[in-house]
Amino acid sequence: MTATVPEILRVSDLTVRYGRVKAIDSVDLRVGRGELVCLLGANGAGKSSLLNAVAGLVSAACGRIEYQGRDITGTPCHRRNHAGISLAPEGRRILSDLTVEENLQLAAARVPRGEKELRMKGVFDLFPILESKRNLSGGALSGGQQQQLAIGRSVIIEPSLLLFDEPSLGLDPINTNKIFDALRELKGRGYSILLAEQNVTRALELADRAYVLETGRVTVTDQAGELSAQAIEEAYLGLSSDPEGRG
Amino acid sequence: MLVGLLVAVGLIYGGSGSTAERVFILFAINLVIAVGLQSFMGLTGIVSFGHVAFMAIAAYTAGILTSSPLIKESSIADAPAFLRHAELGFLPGTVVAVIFTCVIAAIVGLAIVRLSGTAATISTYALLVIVGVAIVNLPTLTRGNQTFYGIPGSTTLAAAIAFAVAAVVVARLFQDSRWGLLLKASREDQLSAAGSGVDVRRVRFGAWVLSIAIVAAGGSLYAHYVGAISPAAFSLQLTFVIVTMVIIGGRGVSGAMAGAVIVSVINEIMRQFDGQISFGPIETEFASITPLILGAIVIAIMVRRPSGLLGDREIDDLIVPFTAKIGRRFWLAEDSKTEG
Amino acid sequence: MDTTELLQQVVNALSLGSIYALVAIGLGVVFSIARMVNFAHGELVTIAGYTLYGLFGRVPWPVAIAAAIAVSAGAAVIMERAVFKRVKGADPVALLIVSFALSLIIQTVLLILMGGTAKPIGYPSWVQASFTIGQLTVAWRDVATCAVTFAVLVSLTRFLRRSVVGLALRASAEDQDVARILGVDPRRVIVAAFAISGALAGLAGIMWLANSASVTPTSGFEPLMNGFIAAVLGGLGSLTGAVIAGLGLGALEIVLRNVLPDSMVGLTDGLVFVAIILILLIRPQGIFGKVGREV
Repeated sequence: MTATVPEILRVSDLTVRYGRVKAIDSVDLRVGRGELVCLLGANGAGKSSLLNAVAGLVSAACGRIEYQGRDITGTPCHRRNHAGISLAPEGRRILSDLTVEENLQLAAARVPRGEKELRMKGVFDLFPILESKRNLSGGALSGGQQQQLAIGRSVIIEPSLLLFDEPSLGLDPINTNKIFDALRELKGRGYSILLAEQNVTRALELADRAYVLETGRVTVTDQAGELSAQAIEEAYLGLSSDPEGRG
Repeated sequence: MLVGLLVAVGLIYGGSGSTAERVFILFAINLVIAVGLQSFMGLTGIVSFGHVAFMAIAAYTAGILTSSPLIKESSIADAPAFLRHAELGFLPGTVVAVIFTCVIAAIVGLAIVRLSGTAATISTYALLVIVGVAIVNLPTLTRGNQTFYGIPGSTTLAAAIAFAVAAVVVARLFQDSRWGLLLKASREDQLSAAGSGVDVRRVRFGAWVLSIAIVAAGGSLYAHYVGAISPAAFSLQLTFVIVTMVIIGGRGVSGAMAGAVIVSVINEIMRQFDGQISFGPIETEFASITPLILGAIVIAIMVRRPSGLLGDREIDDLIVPFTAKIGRRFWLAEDSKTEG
Repeated sequence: MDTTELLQQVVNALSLGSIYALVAIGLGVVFSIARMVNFAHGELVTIAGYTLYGLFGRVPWPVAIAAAIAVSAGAAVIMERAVFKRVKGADPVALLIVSFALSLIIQTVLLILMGGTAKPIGYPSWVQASFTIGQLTVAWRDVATCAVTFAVLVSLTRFLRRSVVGLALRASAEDQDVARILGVDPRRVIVAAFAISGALAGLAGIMWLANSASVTPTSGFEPLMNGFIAAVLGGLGSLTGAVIAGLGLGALEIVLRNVLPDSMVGLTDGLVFVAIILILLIRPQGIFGKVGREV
């Protein structure tokens, strides 16, 4: 049974090249409104490249990216942000020269003036510890706090599509919990989310659907939440423990 | 291979009347310097603004050694005695100058090869300034800001041609050698080059010293042509002209040659139009427009064909396919006859 | 030397150093955002000078000064849009060469249009006047230079910290990709950076040329060289570094000018460039720079 959810994102036959190497190879993918879709796969499988391509950081060699029904394949990165696509990149990459508050202010630059304070408060409600550190420079935060800031930064514009690239990478269990709690909260509020993760179990707890990437190609597609989390995990882990080490 | 290049050099010099002799000698000198610079820039991809400094060192060294003691008694009266009394022949003087310059280059090169990209270029510019300051501040040897005169005019057309051919041969040999190829490979791909680590740095050092040796020879050649030198001659302007030659022509030795030809031609054309040109109320000497034209060409090259007109190719790469095409025409015609 | 002379030289050093600092900051802004060393930056100084030459005496002097700054800022933006933008791949070395070629072109054009002789700039008379405190004679232009530079530094710092454009500039300087995904338009940021650098160059030029009250096509060379030295030594990406190095260089120049015998010409340059090579070897990000922002 395919849910007829209006689509936020449809990626068709997308190929992304770095020089001669195909990081993404003819990938089809969609994210429905309000869905949380998971991208699974080992290191180097292409998850980041896919998210970066959707966000506009890298351009597609061929294929199409449609957002809210519009073709954005040629749209520059910053315009995609203005249109409501928000990326929290791999490795957090917050601006360490700027303070927490400045990071958020920059992200919220296009938010109507009257609402800025409100939105900022919203982020602090989601991540209370950031409020106490609002005047510290980004570089002074711990890894977990930086990840919270990265998520807060991407959420503050109330985007229509959230892209998260391995938010729990390198975090201890406590911080990982905080992050996934936040993700659950965001899903609950109705955000459409495309989440790349290596933490398969936690990710599948939240996901409506999932794709598995292996060296740039989609190898397992969970079209309608039919496959159980178990099955996906097996497929994924099966790939990872492949004797040829292709996982 | 080399033959192709030598033929090209020879043909160019084939016809040189005495009126054109001046032009050709200057062209030859510029060619030597350009080829020298290209031996470094083309292989390492690092732009050097400093080679002219070593041209200056060699020019002064050779000039001091070869000029007659009589002149030196008055021109550099306070110089050490052995310099004042020295009167070497052109070739011995040049050799000593080249060796001396290379020693300095080696010392400096130890630092330069550790840098890359913009940092290296800036450092080479620093060298230009430092050497300039040094020359001016050693008036007992160099007459400081004033012209050092009385250098014998040993540079004949034959000498110039010989130097040019030698420079081209040496440069070509090095670039086609194992070391040259290693440098060319690492020029593009810094990462894998870093893997070879120290090796690359050593070869880069070798390229630096070799390129300066060639430039030094050119410096001596220059000094013995003009007979009188001063620090102003080895300026940023000259540096830019030589760098332009290398950039326009491309990364190979043939490229440097092509660049030297083009720039020299432009220079000469500009000089021929001896008078003024006017754009309405504006009048100016034609010759002073040369930097503008050269600058515009450089920008055009950088925008359109950053590796220069010839790119990495040498003349033989161009000629061989060309002659092969002709050859094929010949054979094919024969075949079709026998078949038909 | 006695105290009066000493104070005199301190004022000179501050004034000179301020100008060098402004040039260094201008170079630094462009370097941080566009990742290139702009050798045509000096020509912006010259252009400001010729603008003053054309306008002083014809319009009220504040207008002339504002115009000169605007023209330099505009010229910088034109440089970027017309030339630098077109260099594919944004290779820093290629951009360096292009900027160098561009500077020669501009110099030649100015030579053709304006001639090689120095054109007098009619600064308002108070600039060349001086006042006395006790035994100390201070030129108004030196006071103005220091005051203006200080004001510019303060407002620049506030601008970078408070305004959205300032935040966008700092963000782009640190991580262009992150700036983009936050909605910052990279094209606009580069234009802003060049405009600011142009304005700073124009300002520096106005103050520099007040010393000689004349301008030639190559007027920009000296301030560029010194500003460049300060920028490299202090750190191309660092505002503080540029200021401290600029002031330090000014001080050094004044000291050497007084200490060294006249016969030792240009030794300042020689020594300073040796320092440059050493810094590039040992600490390429400059004394105050951050790692990752090396030349």
